[in-house]
Amino acid sequence: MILNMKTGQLKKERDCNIIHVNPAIDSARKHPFIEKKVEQANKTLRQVGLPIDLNTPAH
Amino acid sequence: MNQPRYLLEVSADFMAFEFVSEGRNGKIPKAIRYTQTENPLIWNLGFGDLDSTSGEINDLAVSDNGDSKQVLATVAQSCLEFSSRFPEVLIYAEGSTPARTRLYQMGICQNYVAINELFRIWGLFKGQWQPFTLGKNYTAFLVKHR
Repeated sequence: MILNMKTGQLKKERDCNIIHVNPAIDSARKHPFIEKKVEQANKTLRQVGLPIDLNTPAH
Repeated sequence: MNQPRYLLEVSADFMAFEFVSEGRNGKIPKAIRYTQTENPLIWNLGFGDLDSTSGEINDLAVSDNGDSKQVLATVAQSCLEFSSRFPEVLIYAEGSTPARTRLYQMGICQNYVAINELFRIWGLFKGQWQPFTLGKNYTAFLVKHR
């Protein structure tokens, strides 16, 4: 990570031109649309399960 | 994934991403959220337009901005960023409409070689998860960093 001393923003070295951290973005804010999508995901995953055993370490 | 992508802004915890689509209908803010499901190892990819007034997200609007490839490449980049930080988790993605799900599928197909090098991908077909193959229409997707 690279710290821009002027802005205080952190940037990844390999992706300096395409991503930067913005502390103002609130990932914890609830969005009804997103909540609905997560509910749909839960419903589907309850019905169909998973394609892999997550308890088995990957080789 | 060498397609053009938009500049991504990310929250400090790398769970929320935002960018601005620029096309024939102007500048349209977009938001991507990775949200934990009931299974702590599975996170939902939520993606939509960001209402700059209310701050709300929806993906039912059809922005028709003529830049869908660049938008999809940017969403894929967020997927890579998120899963690089949380390599143990699976990302679940399903469009809010069948058309949106097909759009996701097109994005995967267009970048399949590069995506397949980085991720394991499964598609949900007739109620069963299968390893993703080109030419099949899936209703949802799961991806995991290799």
